Amino acid sequence: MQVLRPKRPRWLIAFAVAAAVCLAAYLALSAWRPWVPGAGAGLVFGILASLIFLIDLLYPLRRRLLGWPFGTAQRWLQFHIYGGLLAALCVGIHAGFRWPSGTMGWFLEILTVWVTLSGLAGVWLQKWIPALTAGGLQVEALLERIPKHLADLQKESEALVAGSSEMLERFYGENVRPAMAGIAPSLGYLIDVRSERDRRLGPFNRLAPFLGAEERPRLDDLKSLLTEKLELDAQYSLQRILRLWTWVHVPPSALLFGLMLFHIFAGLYYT
Amino acid sequence: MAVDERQLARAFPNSLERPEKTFPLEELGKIPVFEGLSETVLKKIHPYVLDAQYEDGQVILREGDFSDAAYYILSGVVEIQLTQLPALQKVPSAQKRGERAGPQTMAGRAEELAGMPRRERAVGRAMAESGTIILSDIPAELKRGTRAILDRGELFGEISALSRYPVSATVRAASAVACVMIRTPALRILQRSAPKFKEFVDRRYRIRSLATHLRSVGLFAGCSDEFLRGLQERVELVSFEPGELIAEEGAPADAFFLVRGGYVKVAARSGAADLALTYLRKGDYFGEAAILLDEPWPFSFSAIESVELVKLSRADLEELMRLVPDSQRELWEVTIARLKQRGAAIRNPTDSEYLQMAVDTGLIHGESVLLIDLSTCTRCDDCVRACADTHGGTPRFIREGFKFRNWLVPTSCYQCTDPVCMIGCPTGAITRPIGTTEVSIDPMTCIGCGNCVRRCPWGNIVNVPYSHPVLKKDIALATKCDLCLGRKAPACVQMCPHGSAIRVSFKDVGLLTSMLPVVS
Amino acid sequence: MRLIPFGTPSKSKEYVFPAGRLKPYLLSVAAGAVLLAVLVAAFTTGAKTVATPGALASPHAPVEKRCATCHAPGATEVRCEYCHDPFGTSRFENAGHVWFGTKNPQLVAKAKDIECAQCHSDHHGLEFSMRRVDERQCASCHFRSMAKHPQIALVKAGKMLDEGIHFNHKRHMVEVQKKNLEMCLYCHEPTGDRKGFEAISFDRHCVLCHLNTPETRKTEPVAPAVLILPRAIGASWSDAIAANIQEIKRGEVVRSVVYQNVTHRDPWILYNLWNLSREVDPTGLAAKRQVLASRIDDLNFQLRQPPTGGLAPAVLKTQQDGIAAQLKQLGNDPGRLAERRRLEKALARVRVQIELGPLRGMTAPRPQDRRELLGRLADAKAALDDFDNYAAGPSPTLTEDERQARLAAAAAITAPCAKCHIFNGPLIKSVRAAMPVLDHARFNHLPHVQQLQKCQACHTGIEQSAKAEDVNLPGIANCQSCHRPGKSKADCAFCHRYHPQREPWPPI
Repeated sequence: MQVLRPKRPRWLIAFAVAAAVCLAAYLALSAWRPWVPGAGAGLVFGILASLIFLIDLLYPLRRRLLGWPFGTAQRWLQFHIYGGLLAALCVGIHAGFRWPSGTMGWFLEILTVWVTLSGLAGVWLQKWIPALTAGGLQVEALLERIPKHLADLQKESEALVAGSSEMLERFYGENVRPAMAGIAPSLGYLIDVRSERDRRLGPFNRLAPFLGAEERPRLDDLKSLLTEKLELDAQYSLQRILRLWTWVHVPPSALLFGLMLFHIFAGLYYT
Repeated sequence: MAVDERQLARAFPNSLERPEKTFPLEELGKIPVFEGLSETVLKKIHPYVLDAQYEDGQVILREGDFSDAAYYILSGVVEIQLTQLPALQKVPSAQKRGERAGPQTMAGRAEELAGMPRRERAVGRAMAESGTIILSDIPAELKRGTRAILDRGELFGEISALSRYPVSATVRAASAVACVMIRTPALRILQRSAPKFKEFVDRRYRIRSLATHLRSVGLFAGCSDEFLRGLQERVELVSFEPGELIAEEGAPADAFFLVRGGYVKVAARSGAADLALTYLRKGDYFGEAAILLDEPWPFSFSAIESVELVKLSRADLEELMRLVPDSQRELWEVTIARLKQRGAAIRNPTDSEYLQMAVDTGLIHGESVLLIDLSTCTRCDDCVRACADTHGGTPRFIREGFKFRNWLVPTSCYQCTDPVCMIGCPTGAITRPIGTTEVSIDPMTCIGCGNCVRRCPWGNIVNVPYSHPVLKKDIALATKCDLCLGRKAPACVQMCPHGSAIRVSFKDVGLLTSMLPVVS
Repeated sequence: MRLIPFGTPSKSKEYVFPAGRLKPYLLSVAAGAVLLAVLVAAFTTGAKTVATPGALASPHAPVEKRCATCHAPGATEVRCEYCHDPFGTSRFENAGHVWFGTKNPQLVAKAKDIECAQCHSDHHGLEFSMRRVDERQCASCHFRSMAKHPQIALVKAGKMLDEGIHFNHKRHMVEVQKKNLEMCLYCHEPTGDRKGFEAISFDRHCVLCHLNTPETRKTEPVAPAVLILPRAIGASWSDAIAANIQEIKRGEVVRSVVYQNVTHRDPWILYNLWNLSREVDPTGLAAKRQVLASRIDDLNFQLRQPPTGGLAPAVLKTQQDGIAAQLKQLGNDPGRLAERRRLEKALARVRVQIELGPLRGMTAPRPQDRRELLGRLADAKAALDDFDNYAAGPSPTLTEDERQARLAAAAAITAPCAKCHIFNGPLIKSVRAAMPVLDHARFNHLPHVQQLQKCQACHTGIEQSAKAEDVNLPGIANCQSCHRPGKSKADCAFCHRYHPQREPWPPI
C-alpha cells in the first residue's frame, strides 16, 4: 500500500541545497576576507536569518488568517520547519561560528539554539504521538471532552455494578472505582501507549473463575469500561503533551524576536 | 422566475409551508390513477398521497431539483418550460474543481486520475433525432425555448422520484391546478403491489428514459437506433429490496443487468467470508463475466438499497457484441478488472474491509468525504477552526466521528450522490448545481424547518441559531459542509498543517482502496 | 472493544475557540514586546550598554559605558582618531600606509579609506588583543601567502643606493684578521638590545688604521686668494690650528698648501669646502640646507606630543564654545561641508578631552625612541648651525676661469678625504654606513645569530666583496626556508607594520 502522505523529499532537498550553498559561500568568503558580522557577507547572512525568522513567525498568523491566498498551511509548516533550520544556520554563519562575547550575544545564541532544538523536538513529538495513538489506541476523543467522557464512564460502571453480587461489588470497590476516579495523566504513555494496562487488567482475569456464569458478562463489560478509561488517560496525556509543547517553543521564539529587533535597532542606531 | 420564488420565501417564509393534505381514504380509490387497487394497498399508500393545490403561475417542480413525488393532474393545466441548456453539453464543473484543488486533495486527485467523463448524466433527458428534447419524467417533448402544456389526467415526475434524477424541466401551473402528489414510498408500494401501475410506469420509462439510460452507458454508445428500439421492448425492469441477493456466486447465469438506481454490492467468497470487491451504481452494469466466460456467476451481487435494474437476456448481449465489436472489448476489460479485484481482495483482505466499511457506514454515497489520517493528525483542530472562520464562527463539523483503522470520519457532510436532504426541503434552499459536487444550503432561503436535519442519516446537518439579516429576527438555520463554496479548496484541507485532512470521493472504488493506506 | 458513542456534536465555542487557546501566543507576544520595550527604554534613557555585543578590550575599559565616545549615531565612522590621533596626523589612514610603501602620490590619491575597525574590531572581550590583525586584511590588497612574497627590493636591485663611501670588505677583513681582532664584530657592534648594530663610526672604528698618526699633506697648486687661511677666519677653532697650515708661495702665485696634523672632519677643510661650494653652486647648497632643515622639522614633528597635564577644563570649555559658535555660523551650507566636517571632528576631540581627561595619543614616541630622536635632533641642529656658520655670506658671480680655479682648490684640499669619501660636486656626500637597510620591514638579528652563529650563513660571500654597494643580503627565499606556515612565524605583521612609525603623513 502506497503511503498517501508524501515524505516531501523536495523540501528536504531544497533545504540541503540552500544550506550547502550558504556554508560554501561562508567558507569561500571567510577564507578570502576576515569574517565580520556587521558588514558585507556577514551582514547579508544576518539579514537573511532575520527575514526567514520573520516569515517563520508569520506561520501561527497564517493559521488564523484564512483569507490569505498564500499557500496551504502544509506548505507554510514545511517552510516553518526547514526555513527555521536554515535561519539557525544563517545565525551561526552571521556570527562566524564564534562564541559570543557579550551578554546580548549569549542570550541571542542560547535562544536561537533553544528555539531550534525545541522546534525539532516538536517535529518529533508531532510525528511520534499521532503514530502512537493511531496504532495503539482504539478510542479517539477530543481533549476537551475527555473529562466528560470519563464522568460518563464512571456513571456507567457504577450503574453496571449496582445490584451485582457482593464479590463483584467488593472487587469493584477495591480495584475499579479508584482506577476510574479521575484523569491519571502519565508521561509513560509517551514510550508505551499501553503501559500499565496488563497490570491494571490482571485482577479481572484472576477474578473471572470465581464468578458465576451470569456475572461474567458484567465483569467483561466492566473490564472494557476500564480499558476505555485507560485509553482515555493515554489520549489525554499525549494530547496534552502536544498542547503543552507550544509553551516550550513559542514564548522563547517571541523573546528571541524581541531581542533580534533590539539587536537590529542597536545596529541601525550606530550606523 | 425561480428568483421570485426565493424573494417570496424570504419575505413570507410561512406561506411556503406545503399546502398539501391527505385525501380521505374513500376518495382515494376514485382517483383514476388508483382505480382497481385493493383496500390494503390503498391503506398503505394513504399517508403518502397528498392533495396539492397550486395557484396560477406557481412552480410545481423546478428544473434541476430533486423531487420525492410524482404528480397526477386532477384539474387545470400545467406548463413545461426548459430554462437551462441540456446538461449533455455542459462541461462538468466538478472536474474543474478537482483541478483547481490540486492533487493534494484526494477528491481532486481521484477525479484527475479517473480522467473521467462523468458516468452519469445529471438530468434525465435525451436529444431525439428531430432536435426536440425528450423529457424523461414529463410526458412531453420540447424544443429549446418553447413550452409544452400538460392537461388533466397526465402523470409527471415519477421517474425523477423513483430514480433520483434531478427534474428535467420546470413545471408551473398555467391555471389553478389540483394535483395528486404521490410520494416516493407510495410509488414504491405501487410498483410492487399494483401490476397495472408498474406496467404504466415501466412503459413510460421504456419509452422516455431507457434510451437515454442506455445511451449514457458507454457500452451502448455505438449501437444503432433500431437495436436500441428493439431493446426498449425486450428488456425486463426489475427491483430489489435492501439487502436482497440479486445473484449468488456459483449459481447459473444467463442475464446481464444495468443499474437504474440504488447501489449493488459485488462480493467474492474467500473461505467463509464474503469480501466486498466493489459496488455498482446508476449507470454501471454486471453479469457480463458469467456470459463471456460461460461460467456460473463468479461474484455474488446484492442490493444495498432499493435497487432498480434493467435486465437484458443473454441473447441480447450476444447480439450487442456481434453488432458493436468495441463493446465486446469493453466488457472483457471490465471482466478482467473485476477478476483482478477478486484476486487482490483475496490476497489482501484489507481493501475489502475498506469497502465493507464504506458499504456499512453509508460512505459509498459520499462524493467528497472528509477523512482525517489519525496517524499524522496532531489534534490541533485547525481544520475545525478553519471551517468556523470560513462560516462565520460556526464550524460545519467537529473532529469527532467514527474511526476506521487510522482514519477518522468526522461529522462533515459526505456530499451524497443522491442527497436525501434535498428531498422535502420546502423552500428549495438545498441545491446542488448541475455537474458539481457540493450540496449547499442557501441561508437566505432556509427557514430552519429541520426536515433535512432529520433526514440526513449521518447527522451531518445541524440547525444552528441564526440572526436573519432580512427578517431581523432569530431563526434556526440548517448548516452543513458546503466544501467552502468559492474557495480554491475546502478550508479544512487547505489549513491542515500536516496534510492529514483529505477529501475522498467514494465513487471510484479501485482508486479509493489504492489511496487509503493502512497504518498498523 | 466498544467505541465511545458519538452523538451529534455540540458545536460549542468552548471547543472550537476555547478561552485559553491563544494564551501561549498572546503571552509570548506580550513577553517579546515587554522585553523589547524594556531594552529600548533602557537604551534610550542612557543604559546604552544593554546593546553591547561584548565587552571592550582592556585598554578601552575607561570608555566601556560611553558608547557615543566611539560610535557616532547616524554616522558610519568609529571615532578612533579622536583619542589615537588627536593632532590629526592622519598617519593611521590607509593613504599614509600607501605613501609609506610607495612614495607615489598618484597611488596615494587612489588609496581607499579603510575604517580602523575593519582591522581592529573591538567588543571581543576584555582579554582580546586589538593589535592582532587578521592576515586576510593585508591580503585584500597584497598577495595571499608567504610563498608569493615578492623579492626584497634591495636584493632585487643587487646594490645599495647612495652608500656614500668607498669600502672594500675583502681588504678590511684581511686587515682585521691580521690584527687578531674579532671578525665582523670589531666594526659591527651590536646595539644594547642586540637586535641590530650600532652605526659605524670613524672615531671608533676607522680610526684604528686611518688618520691615526699626525700626518702632513701638501696639496696640488691652487689659485691665489681662493682658500681662506685660518688666521683670516678668526673663529675659536681657527686660531688653534693656524700654525698647522701654510701657503707655499712663489711670487703672488700660490703653489700649494702644506697642512700638518690633518684630522677627520677637519674644520678648516670643511670651512673652505662649503665656502667654495657656496661660490660655485649656491642653489645646490641651499637645497642641502633645506634637507637639513626639513630633517629637523621631521624630528620635531615626531617628538611632538600632547601636553602631559592636559589642558585646563576652562580652556577646553572655551575651545568647545568657540568651535560650536563657528559651526553655528557655518550653518548647513552644502558648499562648505568639508570645513564643517573638520570643525565637527575638532569639536568631538575637545569633547573627548573634557570627558576623558588628557589624551595620550599613540603619536607620542615611546621613551626609548624619544631618546634616540632627541639625539638625532641635536645632531641635525648642530649640522645646521655648522652650515650657517661655515657657509654664510654672499655668492659672487664668477667667470668660468674663476669657477674652475675654485673647483680645483676644493679638490686639492680634500685629496686625503677622497680616499674613502664620494663627492657630489665640491661637497662630500653624507655617509649612511651600516644603518638598517630594510625600509619596510623590521629585522631582529638576535634570534638569527643565535641559531646560525656565523654572519656569512646569511651574508654569503661578504669576505669577497670589494665594493661598498654590494648587498650580500639573502633573498626572500632564504627567509621562507624558515618563515613559512607550520615552521616559524610567517604572518605579515611579524615583519611589517601597516602604520608608518616615523614618517609623517601627509609628507612635510
